[in-house]
Amino acid sequence: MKTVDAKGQNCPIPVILAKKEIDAGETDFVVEVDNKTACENLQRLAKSQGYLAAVEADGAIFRIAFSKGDAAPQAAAVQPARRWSVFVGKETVGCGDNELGISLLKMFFYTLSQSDDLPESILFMNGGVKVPTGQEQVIEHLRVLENKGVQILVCGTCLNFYGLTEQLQVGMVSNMYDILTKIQQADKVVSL
Amino acid sequence: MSGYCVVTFPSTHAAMQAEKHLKGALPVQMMPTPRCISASCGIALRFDPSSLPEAQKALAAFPEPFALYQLAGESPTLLLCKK
Repeated sequence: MKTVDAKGQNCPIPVILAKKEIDAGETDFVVEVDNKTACENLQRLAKSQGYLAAVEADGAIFRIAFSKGDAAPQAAAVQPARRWSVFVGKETVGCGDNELGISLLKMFFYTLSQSDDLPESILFMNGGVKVPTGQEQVIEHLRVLENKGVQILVCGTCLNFYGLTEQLQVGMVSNMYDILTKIQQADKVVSL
Repeated sequence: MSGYCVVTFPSTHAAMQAEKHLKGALPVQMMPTPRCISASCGIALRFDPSSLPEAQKALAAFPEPFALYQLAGESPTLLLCKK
């Protein structure tokens, strides 16, 4: 089986290498990486492309075996009727008074966490990454939403920029490729 | 005790001030004022009924007007009102 060596490569390189194999029509291949974030991103790529991903961890090395099984029809069956995403690019709802904006954000996620119509994903970028790293009340609501199947994607570049990578309390470290894909796949994207 | 407790305020500023005031004393969450209490949009604070003694103590020292309710289902019971 073809093996792609992506060890020592940081995101999004392993995802790009795997996507190349998928685009080339490979139905069975293995990607080797040496960090957990890359491993998680590859698993998500597999799911979004209708591939099965079997992960083998050997010390710090992760081997992700991609296979085009009958995952595609399954993935199609669980598609929600309407897909929407929430984009959070700052710590507040709207602009104006900062403190009011933070209060509105708390109440937005409080209300969303109790709603039946849930987004497929919530995307945090730029100042928005300060929410899943430091907004105590919102973090609680995001955990509830995550348990209900909502994907919480947090821009890794932004976490790194603000020095907040270690403070992430909820959600997955993600990248521009995954975040843009969510926006493209959604029927609507709501920016706060 | 079932349900939850809610404190409402006549102004947004008072609600935000109260959140800071209560935060140290008990776990509170900010929520939109429940529809059964008010049809208008407003900020309310929610906490668990088990924190009622701490909340009452902290609210006694809060200078602004407020109303404290307990909600079970959709029917609010007014516990305390300061004008």
